[in-house]
Amino acid sequence: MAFKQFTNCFVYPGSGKPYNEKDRTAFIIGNLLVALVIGGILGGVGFIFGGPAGAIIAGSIGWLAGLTALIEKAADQWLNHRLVCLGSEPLCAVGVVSHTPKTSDLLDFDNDQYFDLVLMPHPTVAAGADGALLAANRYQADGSVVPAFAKQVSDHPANDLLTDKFQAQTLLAPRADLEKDLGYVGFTDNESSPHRTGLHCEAEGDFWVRMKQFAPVLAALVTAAIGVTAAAAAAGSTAGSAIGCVILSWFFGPVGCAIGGFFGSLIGGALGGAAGGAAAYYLGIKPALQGLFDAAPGNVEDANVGDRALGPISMGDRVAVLGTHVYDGYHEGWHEFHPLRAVVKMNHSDPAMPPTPQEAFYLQWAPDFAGVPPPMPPGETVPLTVDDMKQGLSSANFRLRCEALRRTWCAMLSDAFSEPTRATQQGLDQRWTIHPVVDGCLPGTADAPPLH
Amino acid sequence: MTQPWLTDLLAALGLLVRGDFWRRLAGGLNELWRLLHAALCRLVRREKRHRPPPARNDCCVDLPPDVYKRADPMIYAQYYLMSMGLAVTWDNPDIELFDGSAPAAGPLKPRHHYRVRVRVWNGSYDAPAVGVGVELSYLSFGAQTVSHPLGLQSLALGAKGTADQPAFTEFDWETPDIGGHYCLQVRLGWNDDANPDNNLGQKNVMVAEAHSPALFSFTVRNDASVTRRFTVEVDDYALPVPAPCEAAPPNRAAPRTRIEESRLRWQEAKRTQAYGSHVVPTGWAIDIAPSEFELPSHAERVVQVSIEPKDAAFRGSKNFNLHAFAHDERGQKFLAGGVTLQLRKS
Repeated sequence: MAFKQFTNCFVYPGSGKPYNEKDRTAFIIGNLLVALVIGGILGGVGFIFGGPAGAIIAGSIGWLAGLTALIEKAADQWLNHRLVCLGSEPLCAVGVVSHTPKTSDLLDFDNDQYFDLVLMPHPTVAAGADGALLAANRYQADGSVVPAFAKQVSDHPANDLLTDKFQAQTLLAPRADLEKDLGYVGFTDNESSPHRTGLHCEAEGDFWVRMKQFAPVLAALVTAAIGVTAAAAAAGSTAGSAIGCVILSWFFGPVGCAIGGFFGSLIGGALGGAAGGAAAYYLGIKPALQGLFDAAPGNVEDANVGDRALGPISMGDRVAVLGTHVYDGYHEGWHEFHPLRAVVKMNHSDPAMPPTPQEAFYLQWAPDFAGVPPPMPPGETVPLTVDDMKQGLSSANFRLRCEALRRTWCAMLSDAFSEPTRATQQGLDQRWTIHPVVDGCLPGTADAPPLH
Repeated sequence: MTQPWLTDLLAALGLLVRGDFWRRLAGGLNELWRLLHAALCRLVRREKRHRPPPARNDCCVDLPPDVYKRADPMIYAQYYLMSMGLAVTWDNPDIELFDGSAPAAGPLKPRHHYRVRVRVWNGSYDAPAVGVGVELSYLSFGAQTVSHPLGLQSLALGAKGTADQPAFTEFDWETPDIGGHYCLQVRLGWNDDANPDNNLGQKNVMVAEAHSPALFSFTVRNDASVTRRFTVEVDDYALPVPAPCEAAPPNRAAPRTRIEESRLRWQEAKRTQAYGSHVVPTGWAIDIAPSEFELPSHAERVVQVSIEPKDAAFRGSKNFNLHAFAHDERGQKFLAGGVTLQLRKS
């Protein structure tokens, strides 16, 4: 089963500015006005041919069409005009899973799932919201390195995140025109939103695809909700007017009845409208939206050939990720992987124990390193020294090792998703499940039927 | 140039003449009615809706399984295969021993340098595994005997169908002062393993010329802290000769998903290679002494095996697999180890 992709990134500046959350209110108001105009036009036509009843029916249909168009346009903007392409090919990164204090919920209108990655070889520290891991050498609000690591970065400047000439600079440093025209998330957000020093990775949900699919019925629901709210307001107003009239006429006679009726109708209308609106939202619109939001198509067992259930990825896990590198223009703007195409975990053992051969495949800069440097992975000829570990990317050997490790991971991850590999995997000789010598076969020339 | 609001207006009006709009409206209302009906039924029956709570804990990120991939490093793993009901051979095809460039056969020389080559597979179509630990050890020959570590290496294993799968690694091994037979054991280490049970494999082969009869002996050790009963069973299972892929049954319906294909393959393997279905042919006389015995904690016992073809004209080679099972106090039996005996007659 392939990863899910519902969005398309677009080319900036050729295709205009991305859809941004700051434009949302104006977008909704503008499109509601259009819906009202359509409702009005059709209502007028309906009145000519069918009198008041014709006006109501035709006006409602026009309003429905306008509202449907609004939802569809919002979905199109979300899916196709929010993410700016930063490259044509998927990119790969290696790092440590930071943490996410929460997943998106209905109020965000976004059912993507995400995490952040502190990129190799930058060290981590539990300093974010809810103990999330952040880059230990991150920046303060003024753009300078945090005091705890300022001296170390000053001593070994190649370890400055955004100028490391390695993963962080490649994947996180703002593209000049985007930063100038659209902005880029500030350093001040580091503690709660570490997108300046960590790579945000999002696996896509299908909420907006479903929103678009169900746009007509959602529009009908909203229309019905408005009708219920209006009816409840009218009923409340009538009741409030009567009650106000009765109460005040007791003291002031007919004048009191008029005053009480007026204010009673206002208060009753407001209360009735609020009650009707709340009932329509909680009993109609919210369950419908929640249903669309919670729909999660996919077959868990397709992902791993069925031997074991899949587990969660946890904070602190070392992972390699593959994704489409984009600028997310909906928020304050930052670079991220969207959609995330694949995540694999790496081996790592208890950090209190001496490094094992498996530890050879990840590196972390440690300015105060004391101990045994990670062993050499197969094929490496230059061992790392304690001094290399202390210097981090300022050490040529350390940098070369980092580049080789990233290359190894990325080549293997990309290879697994390449077209030739996918074609090879369709061959019957590759479809063994237990072991090639138990249920395998000798490759031939006949084409096998593809698996879905 | 058309004003944006006019474009929006025309687009909305255009919806009304699109059949798709009305179809989606009708379909959506139908779906809404279905959900409402189901909710009302649940309400009447006082049933609760079973829906997993959304992930909001602070420790983990639940990623969709189509994004989160797990590698499955594996070798021919006898304990796993037998636990799944399949017959096994102890002549592990993924562990090879070389004397120089030639495969080593027969008793090993004392204090001699050999090369051990380990082949590692990946059961995953999607996830590579960089840094799979490969731990080699040898056991004093027999079943559940003492393990002596020989080395630990790592390798980079590609996903199924890539050039890096299977992956190989080699160990240099200087045999102990005493030559003879040793059981080689390989254990793979990978933290995020889709199936950690298929990571332990053994190679335990003993070769003898078929005199009258051929005699073998091996040691069984009880490594438990209590006395246990052991039984030794024999079969003549051999790895199937791989057929050309085109020879797959043409009438079999193509599986729709990989998991469905996986299940079919397990069913087929259990049908043709089940443990217990490869009984020793009647043309062979095999005596195991003893075939059933008790061993105190950490005690060892030598088991003698004699094999003789009833047909004196037999020529060639024939393998038999001996499996030692330990029995617990509830009568359940567990595979304790085994050896493949190779009989040759020229």
